[in-house]
Amino acid sequence: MRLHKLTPRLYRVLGLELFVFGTFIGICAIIDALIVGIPANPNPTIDFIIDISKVLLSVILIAIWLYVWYYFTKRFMLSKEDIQKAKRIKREKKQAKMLEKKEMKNNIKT
Amino acid sequence: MASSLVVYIIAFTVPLLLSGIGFPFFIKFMLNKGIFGIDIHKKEQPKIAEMGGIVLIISLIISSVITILVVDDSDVQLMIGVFCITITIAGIIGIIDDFVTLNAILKPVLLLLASAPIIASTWFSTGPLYNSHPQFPLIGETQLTIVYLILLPFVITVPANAVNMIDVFNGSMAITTIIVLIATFIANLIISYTSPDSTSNRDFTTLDPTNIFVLMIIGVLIAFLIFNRYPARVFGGDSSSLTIGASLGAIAVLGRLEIVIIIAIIPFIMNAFGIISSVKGLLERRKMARPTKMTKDWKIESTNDPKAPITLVGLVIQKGPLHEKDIVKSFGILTIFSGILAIITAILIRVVIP
Repeated sequence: MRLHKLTPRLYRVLGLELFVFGTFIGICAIIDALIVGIPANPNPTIDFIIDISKVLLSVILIAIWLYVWYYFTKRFMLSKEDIQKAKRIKREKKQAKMLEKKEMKNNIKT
Repeated sequence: MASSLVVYIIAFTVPLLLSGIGFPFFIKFMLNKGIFGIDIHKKEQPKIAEMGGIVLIISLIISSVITILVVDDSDVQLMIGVFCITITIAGIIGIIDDFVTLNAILKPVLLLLASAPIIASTWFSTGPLYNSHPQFPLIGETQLTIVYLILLPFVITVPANAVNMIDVFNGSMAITTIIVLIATFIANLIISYTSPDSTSNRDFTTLDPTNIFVLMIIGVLIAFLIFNRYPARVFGGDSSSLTIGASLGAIAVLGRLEIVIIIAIIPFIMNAFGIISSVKGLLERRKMARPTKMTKDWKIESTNDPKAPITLVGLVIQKGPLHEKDIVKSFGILTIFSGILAIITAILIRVVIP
């Protein structure tokens, strides 16, 4: 199959790649503007705590990015039928739990 | 001693020739010994020699030794040695896995060991070979120090496993990894050799170990691709995919290209994420339900088995069955796109570092 016929099949994945890249650059911009810009403190102890906080905040942001990537990959890889099926199963489980709770309440009353 | 250009030519041609000459003999040998797999994606179900990774590992070891002999810089020699030992450890784990099939959790854990030579190199050189200040786009150098050391083993094991998971069709691993390495080579040129301030430009005659590593792996992969492309005559096995994946990680660490390589292997990581999320953890490939089956005209289609892992292949064939060659082409398109994004990342790193 020719490349121009294959590429339209891949728009979703290419879009996801672009999204992953864009969010990463966005996070880098946030880190650069908000975290790197925090001024140093003349007190070495406070400065050390500030440095640790900077690293921690950056790591948390990167971890969030990784999770978002993971989540969207999971969502994108499911077909519409799969998503509907997952929703149906979730709904059924919820209803079953509700029924169980109602029965429990009724049992307690009786 | 040889000029940098000669070293680059040696680094590229020696593994290419060694593997190119070695594979025909290896294929014959393995078929005679009865060590083969069946290519289930072909109508004829041909017998294909397995464990081609052994040729890759031997070629890379010999090439590394030859390159060390022609280089006169002790730091570069040490880096090549460390790179060689790192990928050899990953390769040996792959060979063991090919023979006895390691547990899905044990394999990545063992691969953490592959980073040991890089960490241990601190004791053999004036400073560590890795730099705990990775460069980020728009931010520039960061100071991760201890955090970097903690993350370092994962920089080797994650790409190794991600490459292992994409090695499912004839030529898929070789084509995609060559594209990633070409993007890495360009990114390295952008970061190391260009500077707005012409006085700090690195001279092209300066020997850059990162270029040596990239050329070495591209050389060995081109030879592998000749024998592994559709219709394959040899399967690489885990020994090849883990070696090549670990080499990507080692290039990322030793060449200070961590972020560039993460972006370049986005499709690999997406595939791994899909598998891990659908089977809820790490599971050996052979124990998973098959996500694909063959149609009557020998195209690949989804099995729609809810227990099967969700993979990149599944996404590509969502709109209908495809021929094996077209799936590999799709992987190529996805990797070219991520390669372009990796080059953009390199430019965004370059604009902020002095």
